[in-house]
Amino acid sequence: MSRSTLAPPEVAVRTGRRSFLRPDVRREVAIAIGIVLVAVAVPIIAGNSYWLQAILLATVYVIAASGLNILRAQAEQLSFGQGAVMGVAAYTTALAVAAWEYPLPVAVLLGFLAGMAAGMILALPSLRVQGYYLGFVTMAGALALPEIFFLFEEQTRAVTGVNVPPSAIRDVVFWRTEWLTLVIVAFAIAALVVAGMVKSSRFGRQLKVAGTSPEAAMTLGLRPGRLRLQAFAVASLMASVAGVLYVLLIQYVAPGSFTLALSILLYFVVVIGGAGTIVGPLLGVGILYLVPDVALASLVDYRLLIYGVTAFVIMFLMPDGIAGGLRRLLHRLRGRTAPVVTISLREVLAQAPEAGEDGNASGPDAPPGPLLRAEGLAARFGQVQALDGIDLEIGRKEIHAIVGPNGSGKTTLLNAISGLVAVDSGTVFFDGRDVSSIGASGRARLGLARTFQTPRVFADMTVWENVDCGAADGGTHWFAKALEAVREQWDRLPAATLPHGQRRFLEVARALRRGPVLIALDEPAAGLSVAERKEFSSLLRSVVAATGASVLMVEHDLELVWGTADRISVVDAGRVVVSGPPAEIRHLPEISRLFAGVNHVAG
Amino acid sequence: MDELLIILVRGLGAGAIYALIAISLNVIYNATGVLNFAQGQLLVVAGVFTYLWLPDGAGAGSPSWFLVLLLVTVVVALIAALQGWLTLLPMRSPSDQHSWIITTIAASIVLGAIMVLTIGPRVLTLDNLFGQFPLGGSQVPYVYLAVIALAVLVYLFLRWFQRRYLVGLALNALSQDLEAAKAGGIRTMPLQVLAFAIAGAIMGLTGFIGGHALGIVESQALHYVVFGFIVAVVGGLGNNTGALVAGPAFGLVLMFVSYQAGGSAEIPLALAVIVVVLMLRPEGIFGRPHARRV
Repeated sequence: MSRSTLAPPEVAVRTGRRSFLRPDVRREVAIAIGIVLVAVAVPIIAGNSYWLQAILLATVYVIAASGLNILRAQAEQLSFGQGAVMGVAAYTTALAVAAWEYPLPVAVLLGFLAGMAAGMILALPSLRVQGYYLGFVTMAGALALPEIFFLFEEQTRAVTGVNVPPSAIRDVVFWRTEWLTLVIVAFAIAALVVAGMVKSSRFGRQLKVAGTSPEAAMTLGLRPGRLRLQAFAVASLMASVAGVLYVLLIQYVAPGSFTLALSILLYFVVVIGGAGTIVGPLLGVGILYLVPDVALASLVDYRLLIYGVTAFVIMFLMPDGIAGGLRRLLHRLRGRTAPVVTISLREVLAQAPEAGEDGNASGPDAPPGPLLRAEGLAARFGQVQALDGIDLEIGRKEIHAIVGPNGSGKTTLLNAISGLVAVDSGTVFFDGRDVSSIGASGRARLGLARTFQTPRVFADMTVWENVDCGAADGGTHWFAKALEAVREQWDRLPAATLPHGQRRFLEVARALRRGPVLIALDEPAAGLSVAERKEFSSLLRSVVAATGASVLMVEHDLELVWGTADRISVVDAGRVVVSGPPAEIRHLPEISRLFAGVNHVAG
Repeated sequence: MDELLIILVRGLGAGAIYALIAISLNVIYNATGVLNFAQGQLLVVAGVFTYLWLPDGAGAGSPSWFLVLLLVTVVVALIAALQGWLTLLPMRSPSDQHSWIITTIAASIVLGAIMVLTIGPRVLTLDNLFGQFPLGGSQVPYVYLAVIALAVLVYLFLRWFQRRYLVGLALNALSQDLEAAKAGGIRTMPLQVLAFAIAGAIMGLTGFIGGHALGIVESQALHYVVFGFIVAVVGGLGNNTGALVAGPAFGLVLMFVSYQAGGSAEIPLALAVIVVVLMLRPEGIFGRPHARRV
């Protein structure tokens, strides 16, 4: 199949000017907005106020669910608290109007702020933990909310509920259409557009990286806990808006309106509808709320049964939700096959400026001494002394290899140096400063990059998006500018189809984009073909020559190590046994003992 | 002083029930990585069957009593096994490893809906099976002591089972490393369904013995799971020893606070406990931080 059918020419032409929405996302946002407009317009034209009210409430749920969708699909976090946040916002607005007698705009603002505050309190544990832990915490929060209303019965009127008198917002603007209808539709459109913007943005990708692989995120200079909190903030914002709109629409709140069941409904709406898609929440609200609650209202006794069974069956048939399943079906019908993807770092590296010309790490302002010095690193896990007093020095523009038998502590050493593992004792000096007390993301920001034994490639992003998902502080380096030349091309390649060897190069490109002074590689040659190993070896040399960065690698392929490294350290049982240039240590007895039977070491 | 004694007994008893829920969550979690949100509903189901099947006036020790205990345990174990099998089926496709969050909650909703359709949304009060004993001027049902004994017995049984029998050892292997167990030729699916069945049996026993202390109502199901999860996390997820200690401690604190501030304070307090524990010590009190796999 020719390339032109894959990428329409108008996409390829548009360079320089970038919109807030990726083309595919823009299409989806447009469809979603179209569905909302039609769904609201039909009952207005038909003059059916019962259905209009139901559709407007469904639209309010879509706003809350779109926020939760960002949390679930982009940040990969679980929350059963979205309904509770909505409840706090709604309840506060209602009380502010009916009990404290504030004017409506003030009440709306108070309700919004209260919702945000509740959302952030519920999200605090996300600084420390993630995943289903957060699911249960938020679930406890949603369970607690009605109880809290009853605890403060005198202030909250929990037993009777709060009636909100109708206000001017329910006046008719034009032909049967109230202001409130316009407001709800406007906020729904805004929520859908924001969801699309997050999905298209680097922020969205950072959330994804932090959610899927917190370690990888830290080595890219990101702070996963803070990103999770930000995702919760976006989700809470939409829930708070939805809560305020709920009061304006329903004009009555009681603790029973915001039980855990609402939060679970919103979560189901996101996942069943199709997490990560813009139209997903619309489809989810349709099938889980409108169908059982409104269309089948005569079967009210069986409502929960229908709802539970529907959720179960859809999860069974379409694990990616309705929108995800439909999309997969469409792709199959169109018979699209993924192109075989290759990326080349060589053409990017070829654009390197002459040595010393631009921002090379070995420039005159670099402090003297080795680039990295580790002293007496020790780490213990239960009964295992993984590191037992390691001393290590890495010079500037040096390729330093760490070899040793399995379980000797090589990867732990790499983790200790990049800050992913806390050591029990020892000091790390990096680029002339003590970084022992600085965490992984802090060290990454100082210029310490890292790749992993299994490349951390995010399958549902393009190759370019995989490269451009780190902290936003590396964009001025020449390599980052050179990468712009391949941006259009790489942005058309889905990372999912990238073969293993190419994933290694992708990870190196991502690391280099941040302009590091030291790149730590964990078994970079594992899983590479002979030809790819050769290429990788020469790539490392060009990287050092072109960027002036040093390389620290843990590697089992001794041929590659002996041919590439400037200096080799042999680690065994958590200690450095021998360290020196390959030629000097080649014939030492420690080497032959450690690698007895491996012929090419001596040769 | 007398009130304190009663709070002590009732708190420890309620805590033992939470510990049993936590242990049953751990059994499934260790074998599958799934936290079964339907576990609380299984406890309620056990209570409903006990209510329906136990003949009036069947005192502790009578043959019919024992038969019903057996029946409830087996039936709930079977329901749990079926639910587990349905939960694990879609998880075989690697595309969504988190479908269990939806499917276990959906299972809870469906079980609850069936109960509401058949017996209505009322609270069932189970007979007090064991009589009561005087304590500090009031009568305390022996049930509270019985569930504490049950928690200890279940804990000891699981320990013994996991060391003595090949099946137990295999389950233990799953908890150590699921992928390695698969690679080692263990057929994981039957074992994982067995784990669900064991967890169901624990809920069956708990519902039968402890039902009187709970009051059986469908709407409380998620409440029980969340409390069980909090105990499991405080004790260290997957660690039964931790659950056995954390459960009664948690029960005592809750009972004391709801005595002071009313029952509505229970869940907000539980929320505070889980937030504080996760902020200070995410791996739980008995869990230990393990080397991260990078």
